[in-house]
Amino acid sequence: MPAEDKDLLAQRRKLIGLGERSISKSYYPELQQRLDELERFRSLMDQGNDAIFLVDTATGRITDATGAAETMLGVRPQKLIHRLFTDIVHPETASRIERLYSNPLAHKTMETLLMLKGGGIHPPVPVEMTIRIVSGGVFNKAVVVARDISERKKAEAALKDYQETLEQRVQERTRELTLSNERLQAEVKDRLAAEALYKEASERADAANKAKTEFLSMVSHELRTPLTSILGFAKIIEKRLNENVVPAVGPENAKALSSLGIVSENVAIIVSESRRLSALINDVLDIAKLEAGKVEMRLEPLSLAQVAGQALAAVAPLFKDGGPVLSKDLPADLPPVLADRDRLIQVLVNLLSNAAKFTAKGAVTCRARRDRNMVRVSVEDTGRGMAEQGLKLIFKKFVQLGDPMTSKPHGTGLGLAICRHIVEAHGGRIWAESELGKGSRFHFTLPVAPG
Amino acid sequence: MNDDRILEMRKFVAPEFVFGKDSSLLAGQYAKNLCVRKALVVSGPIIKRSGWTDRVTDSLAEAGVDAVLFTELSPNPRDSEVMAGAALYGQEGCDSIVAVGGGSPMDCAKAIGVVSTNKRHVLDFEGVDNVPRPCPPLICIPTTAGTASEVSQFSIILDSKRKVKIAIVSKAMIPDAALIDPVLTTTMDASLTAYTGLDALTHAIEAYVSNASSPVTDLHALQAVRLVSEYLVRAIREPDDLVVRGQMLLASLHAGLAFSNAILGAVHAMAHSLGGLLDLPHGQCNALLLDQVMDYNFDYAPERFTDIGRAMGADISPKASRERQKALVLGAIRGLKSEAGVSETLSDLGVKPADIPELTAKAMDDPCMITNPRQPSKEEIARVYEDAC
Repeated sequence: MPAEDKDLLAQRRKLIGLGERSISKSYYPELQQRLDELERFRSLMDQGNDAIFLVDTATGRITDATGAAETMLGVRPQKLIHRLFTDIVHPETASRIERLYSNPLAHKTMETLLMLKGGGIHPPVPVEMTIRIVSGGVFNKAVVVARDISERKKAEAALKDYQETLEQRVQERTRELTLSNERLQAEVKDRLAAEALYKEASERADAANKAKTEFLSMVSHELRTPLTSILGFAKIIEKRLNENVVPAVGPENAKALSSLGIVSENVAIIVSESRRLSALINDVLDIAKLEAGKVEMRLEPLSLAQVAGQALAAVAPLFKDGGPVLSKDLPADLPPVLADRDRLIQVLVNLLSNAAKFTAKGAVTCRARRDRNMVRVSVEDTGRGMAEQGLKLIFKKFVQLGDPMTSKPHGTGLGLAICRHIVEAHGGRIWAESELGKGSRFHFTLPVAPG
Repeated sequence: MNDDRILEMRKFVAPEFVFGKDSSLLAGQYAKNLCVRKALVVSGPIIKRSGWTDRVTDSLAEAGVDAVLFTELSPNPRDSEVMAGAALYGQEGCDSIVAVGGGSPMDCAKAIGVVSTNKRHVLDFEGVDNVPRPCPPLICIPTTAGTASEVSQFSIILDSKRKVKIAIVSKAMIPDAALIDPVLTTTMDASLTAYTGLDALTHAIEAYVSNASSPVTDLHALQAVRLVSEYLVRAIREPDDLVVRGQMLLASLHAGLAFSNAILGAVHAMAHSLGGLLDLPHGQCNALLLDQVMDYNFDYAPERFTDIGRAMGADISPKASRERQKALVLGAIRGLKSEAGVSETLSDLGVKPADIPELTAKAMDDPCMITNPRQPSKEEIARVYEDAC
């Protein structure tokens, strides 16, 4: 028979149902396979140390019990089927378990006791119980796996015993320590007495410092009263001289006119020097108060843009045509700061005036930026700058930089010291950066107003 | 029949079936007995509109069986539709299939079934006996009298890429139960009644002349031929006569039991090829090819064909010449076709001479060709196609 015909014959046999696989349709082989799997699975579970229960969540009744269920409860698994699952656990956990039945996603682990309601031959077995709700199929099932934790409980008890012994030994040792501690305390007492002495000395020094400040404050005040008279009368003399005396002297009296010119210049010097002295006294008074802690800051949330605007307006006359250019860089989204309005203006005016003073030509910029919970305000100039050693000194009292031979002093030398006090009283910090010939940058920080 | 032939080993496979009025209403009870929880109901859009699908899903619902409906399938069900159905089956967590309809939904349902249990592509199962695991519980409820897919081990699916109708032949696809209810066939129109009836006749004739026929299949085949001859024209003319519809459905059942076990022949091989390439209706293809193939086969099984002629009521004398016998048999078939209103040719269906080589090649590969009484050559099959054009 040719190969092709043989092939055809084989094909025909299959077609008419006589091939190898051609037995009637049957689910039995697959069913048998599944049953074998199930049997294997069950024998695995029976060997395990865990008891496994299936519970119908609608009725709360056990539908299957296997594994170590018999060992733990002393009852054949068949006898457990149809019983309420809550009848084989400690009554205190029963309601917790029942609540889980209605939660399709429940997956809980708890410790409880496995025990038959009404008492069994076995003592209760401590178990760690994992309950998982499995949806789908004919009914919702709770799969409960209970692991015998008697051994662990025993170990825990042993541990507790051990801890108690340990505690006892600690107590004994504590008694010994108490004795040596008492000795130590006596020593400490001596030391404390020495410290008290030191503290007293320190307080005395503080009081002296305070007295000095009060003295300064008082003296400044006493100086201001006569100075007011000097300045006032000098101004009156100047006015009268210019309005009444000078016009009355005719051109024929040239010598008298020349003397009058000198007198007039001298009076002008008295006025300007009196003004400087007055400013100096004001600053001394101010710093004395600040140092004595007598200045109360009226803190309120302030818009920096607005306050800076006032300060800039105040110093505008210093930035006239031909002088430095004043500009500002204040972002719109800057948060309000917590500050005393007048004091803040004082600081800004001071820094801006300084910048104007040391910048013949160029630019002065008032800038502000948020830096975490602070706002950093900067006054930057393109003036002549200063050397590094100067930076450390400028915030001290009566320090002025500049060449004493070529420039006469302006101001009092107290401005930056006052600024430092004010900024620090706000909880901020002030510092400067500078480079000779390239300008200076003065920065200070203020806290952002809360809320 | 030769005495030695009765000793040849043969098998007869048939599913459990319930034949009779309102048997479709047992769907719920059968599903329940098969432990069905959720059934994929595979049906066609036209059947759905006739209300038969709802009748079945209602019965399922009454028995507490959930149902998911799948009706996205073509008259020649495609591989992609089978895979879509299997995907739905998986997504919905179905555990069984209920098919309501003609050959298309039933073949599609069987294929969805084996894809679902074997987790492979439907085209992997092409051929004979290539399905390892049986399909899930399957209940078939036919709504046409012809296909007999409800009792057969066949599923014919269109491989849409190759444009070939593949045959999956396996015991794994035999339904678990067939509910054969004449009431459901009453909504067929005249032409569908004619084509499906001639499909049943083709099943019976091909099974009877098959080289794998057996005494048991012969009984069913001849009875089917008798019933179709007597009732087909009446069913077309009196569509609401439930007894006539019942007789035709019984004819289809007999033919199905015959061909599922004795297998088919060249008509089916050639019709599958036509359906695959040109997507033509199966019943109509069979009807147009039947007499041409009989003409070609006649001399290889003259007594068998003469039996068929007599079963159709032709008066054929044993003494008549073979030519005369052949003329009488073919006359009986052609007479019935014309009475049933089937007069078109393959050309009318759009078959062109240029299609014939490809049609022939595919028909030669079809497993149904194996049991044809005459093993044909390519040229011979091409000529039969030409004659039917």
